[in-house]
Amino acid sequence: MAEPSRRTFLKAAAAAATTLAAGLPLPPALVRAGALADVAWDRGVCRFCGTGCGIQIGTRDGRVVAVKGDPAAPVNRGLLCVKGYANAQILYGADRLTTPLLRLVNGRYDKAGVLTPVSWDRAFDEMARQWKRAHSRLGPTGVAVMGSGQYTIQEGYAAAKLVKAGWRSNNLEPNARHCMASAASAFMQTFGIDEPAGTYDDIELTDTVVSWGANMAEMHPMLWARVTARRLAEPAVRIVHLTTFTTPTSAMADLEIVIAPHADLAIWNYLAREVIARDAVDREFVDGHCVFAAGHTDIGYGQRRDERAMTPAEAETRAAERVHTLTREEAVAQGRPEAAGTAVVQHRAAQAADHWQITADEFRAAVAPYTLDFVAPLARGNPDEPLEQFADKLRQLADLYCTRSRRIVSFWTMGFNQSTRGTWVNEQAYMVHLLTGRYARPGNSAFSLTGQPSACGTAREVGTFAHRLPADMSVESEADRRRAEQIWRLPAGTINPLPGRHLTDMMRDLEDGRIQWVWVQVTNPFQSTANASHWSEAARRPDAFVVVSDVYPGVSTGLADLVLPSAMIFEKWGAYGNSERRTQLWRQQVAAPGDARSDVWQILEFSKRLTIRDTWGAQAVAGVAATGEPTGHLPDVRSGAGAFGYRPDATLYDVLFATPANRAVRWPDPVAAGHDNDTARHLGVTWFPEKALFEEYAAFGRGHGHDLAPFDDYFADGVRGLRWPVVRGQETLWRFNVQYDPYVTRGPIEFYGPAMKTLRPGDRRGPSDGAPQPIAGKAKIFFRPYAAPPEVPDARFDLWLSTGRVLEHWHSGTMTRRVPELHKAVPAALLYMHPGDAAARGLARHDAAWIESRRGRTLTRVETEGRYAPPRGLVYVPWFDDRVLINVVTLDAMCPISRQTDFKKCAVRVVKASPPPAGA
Amino acid sequence: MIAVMAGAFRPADNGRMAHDADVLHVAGVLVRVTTPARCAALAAMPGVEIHAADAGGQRVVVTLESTSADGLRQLHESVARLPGVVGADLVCHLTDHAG
Repeated sequence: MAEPSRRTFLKAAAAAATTLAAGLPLPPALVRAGALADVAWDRGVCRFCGTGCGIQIGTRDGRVVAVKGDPAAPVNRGLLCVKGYANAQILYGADRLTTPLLRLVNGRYDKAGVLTPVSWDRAFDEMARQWKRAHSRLGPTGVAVMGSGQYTIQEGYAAAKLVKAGWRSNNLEPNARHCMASAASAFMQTFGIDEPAGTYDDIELTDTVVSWGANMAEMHPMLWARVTARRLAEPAVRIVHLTTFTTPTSAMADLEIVIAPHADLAIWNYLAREVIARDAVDREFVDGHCVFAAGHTDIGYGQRRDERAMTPAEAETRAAERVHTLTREEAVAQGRPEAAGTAVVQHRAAQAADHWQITADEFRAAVAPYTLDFVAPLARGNPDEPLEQFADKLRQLADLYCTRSRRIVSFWTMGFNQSTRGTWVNEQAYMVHLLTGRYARPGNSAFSLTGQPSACGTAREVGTFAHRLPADMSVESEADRRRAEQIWRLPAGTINPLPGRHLTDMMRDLEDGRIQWVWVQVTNPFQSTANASHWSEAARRPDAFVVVSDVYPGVSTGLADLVLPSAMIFEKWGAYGNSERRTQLWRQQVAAPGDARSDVWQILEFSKRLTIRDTWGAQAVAGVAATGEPTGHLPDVRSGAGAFGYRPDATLYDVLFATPANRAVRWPDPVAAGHDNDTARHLGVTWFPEKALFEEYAAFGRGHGHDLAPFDDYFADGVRGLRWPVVRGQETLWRFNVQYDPYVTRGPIEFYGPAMKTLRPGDRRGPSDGAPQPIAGKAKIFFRPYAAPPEVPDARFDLWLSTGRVLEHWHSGTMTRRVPELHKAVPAALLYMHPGDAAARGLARHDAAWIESRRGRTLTRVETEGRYAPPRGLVYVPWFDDRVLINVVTLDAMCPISRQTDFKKCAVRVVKASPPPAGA
Repeated sequence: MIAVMAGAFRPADNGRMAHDADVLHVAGVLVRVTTPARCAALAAMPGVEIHAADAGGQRVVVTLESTSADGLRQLHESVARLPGVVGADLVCHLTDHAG
């Protein structure tokens, strides 16, 4: 036990840190105790969610020994959640991967072999040999990289350049496809540019916070701390929580509304109808800055087209998608009640994103059916709540949105994004905020929160999606490809004009043998992808070669043929971009253990194994003829390579990474202030890879509305990240608003995003023959109807399943489950269930039970108390636990526009497990 | 002296986690209460000490102490669940390993 003096000291140190974090004056006694002489502190950013909390990292003797909230960080103001302070502990789990592992039998690679330690050289040799095998057999579409929103900006950028410029494949996808693709598509369709107009500053400037399906108290705790502080400081502030089950966020809500799955689509239209009916429309805003739009409704649910790999039970849900029978509610919602019961062939899947302009009158007519009488019975989530009481809550919600003097911030995350109509419901939030003029103005915001630390900074801004190039550009646009080729110094025609496969389709292609080489980085897709049984089988196909770069063993490394040990966050230089457009950079603090190496090093080192001779000749790519390449091949661009000074046998490393411009960015660099760079050291170079990549990437966005500051500026005293666009040294707090955004040329509000800014005319049912008209500077107010989910509970599978996270665990738990405090707090994923539903199935609290769907089943334990209280008819299971693989149960249906999977809705049954499993 | 690292740990080691008895765990927590009167219940809890509060008495700096990480966690949870407590944000977690 500590000596009394040590105990006093520790308490004084803790109190001092807390007092500082709270912004309270520090008593002199605590000032002395707060000094931690032998620990070196440097700024960093939290490894976990998209909030982007600033932390101070304390190192001593080459080890991170302490973490505290950064009092100077505007995001979290010195506070951290329980995960946040685990940023140090996650580095030091006993089973860190420290050496490459390859499946060997008698010293030779064999798919049936055991994972055996090998050198990096040996690992890369086999990886390159297998890459060439898959590439020569299948072309650029036969290889793929699965990355993530946890890639640093530099890692994502290096991966994008390698895949798109080097391999001429667009098969690069982030796990962010499962996380915020719907948010991104809605931003692009509505505003023509990605990411929110406002910032977290809106929290302190608003008087109404509506959390739509977002359990912010657990998933964005430090933002929720700001919301609750605002609520306590200002009695007029109101908090509303719409949710499909009661969560810790409900505790602070003035109004909790428990809604049915997919009912958000109907509630938004009810709100739009009320806004119009109660004359709460901001006419100046709408007339000056918006147009109305609509799209197709028969767009399907993105399930597998090829049904051969499906079981008969799975095919049932697939069949219900191909020909969907309109429910009564859907028919009313589409303004054609007579169509109830009609079979509608979902033949517009390929045109899901198409949309056109409609008139204001047509929009008003479209939302007219969404009366309270229609919406309330459809939307009520708790069957035990009296309908009148529920309807009254919706009325109260409408009162808030219809009170013109009220400032409102609507927040959402996965509740909207992970939906088979995820793009639509994001667009509906903008619909109501635009109608009421509550967007791009201080205190008024519709704000899409992100789940990962760099979902915005890397996945979206760098563009690690199959269709994207940096700074919101698209591989499908010839102008964008030419601009990228210019910055990247590539012969014209190098970049493949066809988008690659989206993340779930990559898994499906792996299962079908159409992708035979995949490299997984900074993600655990064999645990996180819905309908997971298929994908674990796919990984074990004899013709598949699966490489997984990771830091700890997990489900994906277990299925890998080659495992590469990666450096973790503070073992490398990096940068993340959070939900409010804030880009934050950090220095390497400590060395990685053993032979673990940064992902930037892995990408650059592997790129030395391939030459432009391997990739820049004519490449057969199915479908490329339709893009204007009559040969059906990507052109041979090797003849153009000489003009840039590339030798015929130049490696991709020479051409893409060790460029003259990059080699001019010298290492060592004064900005390091004594910190190391193991990426440069292991590459054996005297240039600064992370800074060179950052600056090269920034060239895409500067002058194009995505301006990042120079690399060194982010390390200046007092800077804790900067919110882009950073123009003339100033960050931008509210985009599109002439008072705050230097990109606005015609105020007061200008939605200058350039994408999709011409529209054909039409009505709710479809486009007409009129010519497309420009809508420059305007945002679109979409009408999107209520739609039923593709699989709903029935007699055999009688419950809704929703999945998600818990406060203590991050994603698939590979990091947080190695932190004793977090693991002990939540050691296993439980099945949260209404006590009545449990009793009806003969289940008591803590009983073992199978949860099963048409896809698969997993064993878990029933919890009828605790922090979540689902209504009857719905169960909740978190997905962090690799012993309760809930994604073998979930359905891989998705939003056909964003290709983001709906992890929140599928039909399951729960049955008592008998006898109880060992160890029960 | 200051080290947040408890023993290295694998999830598969259920129940075989590094034993951390005889290690003092101290947490600095910023507690937010609806009214200053709620502080009394807080101060009365064993292992809880109040160090400072803002002028309105709604934001209170407390330390929690326990001889195990789990005990600390449970104490933190009890504080968070006290009636009138609307937030208990952990700012730092310090330990003093005997070795």
